[in-house]
Parts: sequence; structure tokens; C-alpha cells
Amino acid sequence: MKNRLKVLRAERNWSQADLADRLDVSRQSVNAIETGKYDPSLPLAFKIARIFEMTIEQVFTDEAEAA
Amino acid sequence: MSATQKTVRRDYIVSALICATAYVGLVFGAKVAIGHFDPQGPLLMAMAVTPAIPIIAYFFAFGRYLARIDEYQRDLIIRALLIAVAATISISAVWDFLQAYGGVAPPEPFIFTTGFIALFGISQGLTKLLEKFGRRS
Repeated sequence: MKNRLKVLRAERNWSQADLADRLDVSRQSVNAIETGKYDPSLPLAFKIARIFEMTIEQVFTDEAEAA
Repeated sequence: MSATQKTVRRDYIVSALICATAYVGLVFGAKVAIGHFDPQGPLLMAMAVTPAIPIIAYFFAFGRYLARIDEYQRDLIIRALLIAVAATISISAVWDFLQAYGGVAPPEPFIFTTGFIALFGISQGLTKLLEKFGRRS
């Protein structure tokens, strides 16, 4: 699953730690999601989308669908 | 790390340290007390099992930690735990068969408990390394 987390974070000038604070997760978690090593659960994906005031589809893309 | 996650980690470390300290104290305390008072029957049994209490308490603290940490950290720990459990049971099974058919001596007491703890430490390090270099274990 691809995501635009890094771009969205950069647009807001947030560090990984800033986003981690807002999501109430560890910085390592944000890094793992950003680099595609870890796909978040649906509740966390919703939380991420809500923080960026977007829909899940605007943040995350299904790689199979994108191909 | 968020403030909540820091609190969760601190709580876990404090609980683990209390359990470890209590374990060391009770291991030596039970040995000295049994040698000194020479209890018999149920009292001996009760004194003999006291060092196991902090180990059981540790698993409660560990379970609470797992329930409170974020999902990615939990995923890493669960994977490390599965590796350690699989390795411990595999070694135990091999040893059992060697003992049953190969005439190998039975294992020393506590060897699988301490072995599991050591393997869990190793598997946590291994899981983090694999994650760092971009591979899922």
C-alpha cells in the first residue's frame, strides 16, 4: 500500500515526531508507515486521514489498483 | 515518541525492574529461609514457589504493556515473541527425543525459562535489525 504521508507531512512542516505526537504513536511507527514497511490498521488509517483532513483514499493508495 | 507512549514505556520498565528485583530477592531469600527454618510440607512448598511469583507478575506487566503500546511496536514484539517461542519449543522437543531415545541427561532446572528469556532478547534485536534493513522477519 502506497501513501502520501511524507509529502503531506512536509506540506505542513511537521517532523515525524510531530505527526507521531498527533497520532499518539511512536516515531518509529510513523517512519515504518511512511517507508511502506508497515501498513496501518483501519482505525489508525482513519486517524491519519482525519489529522490531514482528507479521506483515506487521498492518503493511501492500493498498489494493485494503481498498477 | 508521544507522551502517552513514553508513559507506557516508563510504566513497563518500572514494573519489569520491580519484578526483576523481587525475583532476585526471593530466589536468595527463599534459599536462605528454607535452609535456616527447614520447613516441611505445605510451608516448604509455599516458600519454594515464592520466586515464581515475580515471574508471573512480570507476564501481567508485559501483557499490559502489549495492550497499551502502538500497533506497530506490538507487531514487532509479537513477531519476536513467536520466534522465541518457536525456538524454545523446538529445542525442548529435540532435547526430549534425545533424552527419550538417545540417553541424554535431563535438562537442568530453569534452563528453558532462562533460555526462553535469552532467546526473546535475541529475537527482539533480530526483528529490529531486519526491520531497519527493510525486511520483514
